[in-house]
Amino acid sequence: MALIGVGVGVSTHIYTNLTNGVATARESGFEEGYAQGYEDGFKEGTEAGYQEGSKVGYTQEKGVDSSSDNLEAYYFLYNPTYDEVQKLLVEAGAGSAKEIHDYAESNGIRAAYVRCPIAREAPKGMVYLYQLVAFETVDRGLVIIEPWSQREVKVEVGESYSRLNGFPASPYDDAVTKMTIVW
Amino acid sequence: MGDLREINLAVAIGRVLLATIALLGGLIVLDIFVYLAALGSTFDIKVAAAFSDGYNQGYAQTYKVGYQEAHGEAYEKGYEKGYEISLESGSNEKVDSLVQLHNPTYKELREFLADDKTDSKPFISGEYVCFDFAAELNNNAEAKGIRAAYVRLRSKEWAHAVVAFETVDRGLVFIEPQSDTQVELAVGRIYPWWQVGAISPLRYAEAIEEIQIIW
Repeated sequence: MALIGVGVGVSTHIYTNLTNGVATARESGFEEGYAQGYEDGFKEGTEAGYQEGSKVGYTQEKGVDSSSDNLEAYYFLYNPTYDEVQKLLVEAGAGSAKEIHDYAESNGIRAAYVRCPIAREAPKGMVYLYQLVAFETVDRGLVIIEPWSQREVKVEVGESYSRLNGFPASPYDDAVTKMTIVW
Repeated sequence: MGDLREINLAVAIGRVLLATIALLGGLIVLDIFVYLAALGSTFDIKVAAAFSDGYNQGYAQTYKVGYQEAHGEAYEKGYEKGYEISLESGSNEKVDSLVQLHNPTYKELREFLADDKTDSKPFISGEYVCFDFAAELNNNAEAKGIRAAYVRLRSKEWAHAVVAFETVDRGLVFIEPQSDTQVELAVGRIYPWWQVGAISPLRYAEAIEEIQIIW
């Protein structure tokens, strides 16, 4: 009888663990999906709304039918003024280069992803790099922004990134070896 | 009579013993089965399925809310800016603020790729590598008014870059810029280096861990 009791007990324990694990996973999945769904919806709603509105606004003054075929694939972006970049950074808040870039383009502002590998030694086949954001401002030309500090920065190949921008000295070699701007 | 009682008693005890052994055996087999299932992939699959199910439910509940909240205000902002730019472009001043891009048809994309010479450039280790191919193809497309995205791929051991286009007739298309070959991407899959004519890293068999699309 004792053995039967142990058997039943073990079965119950394992079954309960499985059930709890599944319930916890479902709950955490729901929470994550709930947050991500809103974030994605907001981002895509912003982009879609902006694109639809700009298309109508742009074509209305010209007397063009905004639903015409040649405008079907239209995508509206503009190069901002320097002030518009500053305003955008305040609205977007600190974030990764991709986050700032995506926020800008969702709001119709043309932005570039800037990739700057540095000289710091990395495992074979890999590189360390700074990821920045750039804007082609209509009044001050190309402006490069460090996304986390939101500071305007300079980048020159062969120069130490920290020294060039007055940042605290880097413990490793942070000389920029290349700069690629991806629009 | 005494012998018969003894035999009946022995048979009864034997039956009880057999039943107990059968019950114990059954329980042990059941425990082993449940234990193995719990330790093995069944447990993981059930947990992953539950997570995914919960995620999808939560996602569906809030996606529309976020979309609708953002859409109206963004429409107004877009309308104002579009109108403002249209007035500027009607004036005699040089206008450099408007960037006209469009999502291509698949045919238009293939024609652009056939004209573009990025894929004919040589891969030079440390100088002109996958990221340069992708950046150049992306920038060449945008210079021609075709909307393109730079796509970063990462695994534990390597990083790579390709280009994406949101075609109006075939949806999102990924292109390997070293060969202009279309490539299918998925997290967890191995990048098909040789099939798409890309120079592979040393640890090519590591699966893709992250796909980041930068428009």
